[in-house]
Amino acid sequence: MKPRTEAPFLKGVRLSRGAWVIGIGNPCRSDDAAGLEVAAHLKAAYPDCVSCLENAADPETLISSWVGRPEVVVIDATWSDAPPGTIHFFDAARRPLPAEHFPCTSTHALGLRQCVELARALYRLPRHLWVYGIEGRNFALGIRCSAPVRRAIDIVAAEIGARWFADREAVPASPPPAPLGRHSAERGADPI
Amino acid sequence: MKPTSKRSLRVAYLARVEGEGALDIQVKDGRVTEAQLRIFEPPRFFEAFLRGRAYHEAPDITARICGICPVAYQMSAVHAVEDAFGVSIPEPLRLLRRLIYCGEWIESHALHVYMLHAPDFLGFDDAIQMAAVHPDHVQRGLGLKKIGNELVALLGGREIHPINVKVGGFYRAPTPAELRALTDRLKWARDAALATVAFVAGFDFPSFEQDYEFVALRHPEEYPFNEGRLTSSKGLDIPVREFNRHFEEDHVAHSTALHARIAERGAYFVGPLARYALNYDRLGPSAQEAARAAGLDTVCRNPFKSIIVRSVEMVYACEEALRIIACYEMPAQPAVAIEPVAASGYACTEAPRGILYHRYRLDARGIIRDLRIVPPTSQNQATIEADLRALVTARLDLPDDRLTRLSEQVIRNYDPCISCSVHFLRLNVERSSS
Repeated sequence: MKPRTEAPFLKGVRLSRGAWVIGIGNPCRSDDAAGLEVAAHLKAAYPDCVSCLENAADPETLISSWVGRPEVVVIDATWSDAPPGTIHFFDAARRPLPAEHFPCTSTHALGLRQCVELARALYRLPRHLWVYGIEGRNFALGIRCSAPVRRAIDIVAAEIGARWFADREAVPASPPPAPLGRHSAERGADPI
Repeated sequence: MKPTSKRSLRVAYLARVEGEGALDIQVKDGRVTEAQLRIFEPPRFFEAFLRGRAYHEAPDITARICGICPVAYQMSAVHAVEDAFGVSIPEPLRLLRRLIYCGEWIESHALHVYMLHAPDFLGFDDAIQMAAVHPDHVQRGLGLKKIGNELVALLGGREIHPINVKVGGFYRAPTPAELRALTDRLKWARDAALATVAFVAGFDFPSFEQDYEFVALRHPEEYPFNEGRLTSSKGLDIPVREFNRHFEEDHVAHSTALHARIAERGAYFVGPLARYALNYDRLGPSAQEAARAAGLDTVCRNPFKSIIVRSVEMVYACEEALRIIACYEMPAQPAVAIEPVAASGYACTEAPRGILYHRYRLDARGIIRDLRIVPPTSQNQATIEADLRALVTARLDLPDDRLTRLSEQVIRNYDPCISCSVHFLRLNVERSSS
């Protein structure tokens, strides 16, 4: 199957202008850094609207990062049968994230899917919670995403910028950010 | 249920524990013939990684053994290396080490109490189910865990695998103002920990007590984190450097983690119940009062009640953190100078799950030539299996599903950190030639 690399179609979805963007991932696990990479791209242009959570499996760190924000966009790597680089899009405020895209990879940790459900149980979900999933291929140790994932990162970053920040003036382009794992992204981490 | 049949209780993948393990119990003719905590997570070879490395790499490399208790690995590593080099650190740095350990205990205990253990007692499969019925309690647990993480992040540079701990002290010491900024949050945490004790004390606990040999550090004045002699409830009282003379490790076929035993007597028990039993008089007044109000005596031999003791220890850790912050004076230097010498060093510190032993043999350049690490979970394995055997023997009348669930709970009583327990490398090579 050919990866779906065009922007996800959001027909019928009402989007506000402006949202809080959260990139999630482990910068030292290759394609797992996809969400962080998207957020790093956007942070350079819209620094007041983006946070990067490295290894953000601590539920309170993630949940408190969207408290008080009516519309939130989260980007994370996914791990299903889809080809690498496939872009998924989910409305997590309306229904749980699918287990086949966000499988439980730990006996004790809470991943994004479980954190969302914990927040739902605690009535701490934002009113709108959109989740982009970028299908990964390689989650081994490494600080560089695979080629199809890098292409998807560019597409998702461009799409979020166009859909949520079109009326904002971007900060002029500066030298590209250092590779993840070396730049000073906000840390919100712990492994549970 | 008739006790004459053959029964097998199996859990292929234990949930709500750190790492990968399984449970296997065999019952034949009303007798438990096998009770195994099978640890199948692959060995991780950390002792091999460290051979040939410089002494200053030990805290950062061993911290990678565990994402839940990296501070414990760092503390045991720096104390053992400093023991080898004959280094002593000034009081402000000693207190900062206690403070970072407070953070780790708070976050680790909050995780286990609320996310991993409480669902057992309340009949839920996980904390998400529990949150739907007890949102305020789960929210309190999340808040406690977060303040523990914040404390570790402030002192360690980040929450997991901190990078600010070094042999001789810290790379950077926090300012008093940075620490004082946490005071109000820690006061909230202390109250939340007290509420936690009251909450978990109301659970129904199976009637189950064993004659354990508790082993923990004992300090002349303080509830132990980093210092003290190794003591036990059956008379052991030794300096840490004599650990090897009294404790043995064996390989068993069903576990990639070594089983530890006291040479003279066998299985023993480390962790909150052991610390509490051997150091009750070192807890502060409010932690003692909370324990009494929860119905605990000065010694608790029911491992199911470890959830209460963990909560009491959270009260202590919050109060100790507040005490240290209140009296903190910034050290003149964040670390003392280190001069390597050829020597061996030993240390035990109290990880959230129990004593964590490190031994290093270093050469004159400070290169690690040999080392040994004995984590708490491998020390508790034999006791966990003895608990399983005793509990199943006493509850054979229960149907399989309830007995299996209760057996899983027995394992979770110990908050096992399976990933920690399988760090070892013991390789025997037999060579022959034709």
